[in-house]
Amino acid sequence: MRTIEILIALALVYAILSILVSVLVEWRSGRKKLRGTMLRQVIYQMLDDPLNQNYGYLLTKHPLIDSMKNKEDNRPFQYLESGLFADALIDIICDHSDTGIPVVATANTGVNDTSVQVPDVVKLFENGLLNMKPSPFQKSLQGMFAKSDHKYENLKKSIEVWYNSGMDRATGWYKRKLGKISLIWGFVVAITLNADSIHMFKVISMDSNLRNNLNIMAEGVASNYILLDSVQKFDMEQQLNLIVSQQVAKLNVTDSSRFEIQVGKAISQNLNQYDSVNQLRISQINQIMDVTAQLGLPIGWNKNEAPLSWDKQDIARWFMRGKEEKILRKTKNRYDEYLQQRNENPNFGSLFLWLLGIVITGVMLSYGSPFWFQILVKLVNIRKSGLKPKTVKNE
Amino acid sequence: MNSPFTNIHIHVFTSECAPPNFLRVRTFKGLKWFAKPIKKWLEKPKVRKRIWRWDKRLKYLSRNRRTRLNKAVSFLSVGSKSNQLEVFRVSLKVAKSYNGYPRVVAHTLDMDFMDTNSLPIIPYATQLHEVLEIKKYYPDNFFPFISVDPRSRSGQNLVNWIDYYFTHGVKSNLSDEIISFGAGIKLYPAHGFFPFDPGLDELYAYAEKNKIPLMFHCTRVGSQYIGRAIEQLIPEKPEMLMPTEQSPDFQKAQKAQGEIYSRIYRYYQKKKWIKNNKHGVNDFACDLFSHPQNYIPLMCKYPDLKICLAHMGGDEEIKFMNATNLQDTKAPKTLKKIWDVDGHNWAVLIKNLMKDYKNLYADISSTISELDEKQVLQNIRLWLNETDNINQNTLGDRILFGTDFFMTEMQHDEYELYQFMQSKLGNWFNKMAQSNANNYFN
Repeated sequence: MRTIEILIALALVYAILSILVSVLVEWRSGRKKLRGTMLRQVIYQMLDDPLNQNYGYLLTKHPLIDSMKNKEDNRPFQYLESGLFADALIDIICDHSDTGIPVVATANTGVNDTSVQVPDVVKLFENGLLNMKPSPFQKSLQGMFAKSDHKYENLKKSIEVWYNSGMDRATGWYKRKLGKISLIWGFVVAITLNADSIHMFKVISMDSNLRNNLNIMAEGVASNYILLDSVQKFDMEQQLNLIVSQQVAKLNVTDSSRFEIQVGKAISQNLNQYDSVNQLRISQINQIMDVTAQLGLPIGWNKNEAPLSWDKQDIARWFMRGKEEKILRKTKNRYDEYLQQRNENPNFGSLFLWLLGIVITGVMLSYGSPFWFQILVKLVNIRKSGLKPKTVKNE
Repeated sequence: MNSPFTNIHIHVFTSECAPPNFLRVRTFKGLKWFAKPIKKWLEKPKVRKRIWRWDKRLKYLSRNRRTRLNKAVSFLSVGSKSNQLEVFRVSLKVAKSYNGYPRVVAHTLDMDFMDTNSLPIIPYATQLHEVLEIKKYYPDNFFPFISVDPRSRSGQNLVNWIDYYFTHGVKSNLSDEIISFGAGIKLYPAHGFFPFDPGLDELYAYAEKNKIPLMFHCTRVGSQYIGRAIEQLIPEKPEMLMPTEQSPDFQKAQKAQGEIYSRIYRYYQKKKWIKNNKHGVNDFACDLFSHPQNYIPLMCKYPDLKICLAHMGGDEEIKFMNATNLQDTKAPKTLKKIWDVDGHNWAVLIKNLMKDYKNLYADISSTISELDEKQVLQNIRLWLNETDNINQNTLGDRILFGTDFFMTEMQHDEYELYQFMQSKLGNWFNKMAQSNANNYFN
């Protein structure tokens, strides 16, 4: 049962920290216009036709679509509905049928007659296709046109289906790309917060008070998650709200001063100088930092804790193994003994374990918060089928 | 009725129409491998503003490099707009403040063969497609020149292709007239071809027959061929279209041919002036393509062809055009070296050609931005007042007004250029923009 409790506590910690990673990834991809840029790349690729025109460019510049763009900061559109895509593409192909008016003609010699006729879009599309040079893209469009039975709805529908399947693949590419970015940000968070998984595991396994607090909170998070997830799609912001709403303050927190976060406070004092999106992201980061501080998680940089507590003599002793032993204070229990060993009497093993712990955290955080929430729910369910946790006592 | 007010020379293409190394950042040491990211970085307005400020302190850069940097930043300031229509609207807004219904001539550019390493995101076909859309929106204001490159199409094939743009068009909003899509033909030899290329022979014949004006880029600066195969493009004796031996101007064409061949030979003798290289550094070699003397054979063969050599040879050449000895001037060392091998100051050469060929025009675009320089202004005034050898008409009758928007945007914006013309050249401004332009088109 204790193992399950440790795993639940660790899953909750990863879930909280991976929300932080998600916030940072969203922030960065927003600034880099990643989603819009990738959508544009995919459209360019789908409509690639070197033998005729760059239809990807023409489509993104089509007035129906270009007008949706944020012109102030040249931000590309983030999402393109399939119906709009189909309408714009049909328009562009229809344009090929408009070859202009012969210069010898005048407005009175038949030019006006055609302008009053209501154009048949399907006919224009067919003429547009005929005016295109033969190419793989033209062939694809011809295939769709042939199956449309000369009906606009059918033609639009088949273009929509094609676009949606293209977007499904693009979603996969986007997720893979985000996965790589999450891994980088996972490491950034792990290093910035000094989140050593091995140390967290040991502290949680030895500090039953912390473990119990985390388990109580995990139970609340899991039950609400199941409830909310069945009603709507659960995004990062809702996950954050769920964590914050667990009234961490009411919990019996042992040592919240262990993790002092000054950065968040400093940032919030200067919050007014950022734009609304940045303000939102900063406040989200602050919320996560507050939660971790109130829970008293064994993370953060502190000069009394590894690796900042390691001094030059400690490092020198690694190279003179067995020659000079450091005299350690006498400790009351296993937990204090472990902390003393890690912080005050390190060896090569300590360094290796610290690095390994950081790497494990980085990798774990890259899986993303939805993954850790699901793991958390499963673990809580497993525990619910067993005994309730015992009340607190340092082991 | 007055002739319409015409700005004969603007560009509307965006940065996506040009290959990534269009700005030739590769020629700046240390930056050569980062053409794409630098272009992306320069597209940020904040960065451009900083460069603008730094530019005043960049004294250690040669004038040529500074001009290129200026052009690069100007190009991206406007060229990074969303599409060509938006670029055009900027220029039209300024022109409209001078005339209710201005005629703005936009020069398309075929940059598909400019670089051997990369292609523009928007190929020329798409650039042209977009330009025709603008023509539909602004039939009475927007007058595109259709760019051609003999490496893309040549001979009768080229004529068949371009004929569509002059036989089809859109209805004017002001009258029942159908205005053709194309207003003229643009050639940019510095991108890697000679204007006397025999592949263009049929095109010139077609243009002469149908009274279609031609515009050639003709300065030592500006965009150029940035590929790695310059030697293949410049044979020692390139094939040349020539008038028939019975033609009265055959002797002139033959003399020009001899001089062109000997210049190519002299350039080959200079170390690295014509040398294949990875970084597209073809500054010297590309002068051979645009050289004013290259137009003599085709002017001899097609005397009724309306030809405009853009930029009047360039401000640097104009500045020193009346010097008795070019080598004694305060011109930059590199330019003196070029004059020495080339044998001509281009401004002088164009002016002299204008005296002999009645259908040769020049435009003041780009050069305008240097009108605040006393020597340049003075020499331009002299040029305008000189008379030709045919009818004793002033050469000022064949100088056209253009701004080269948006290539000079960094030095002076479009409004300033119009004001420059008004304040520095007074009455010539209206003449250039109206009656001269009208003669060029008819």
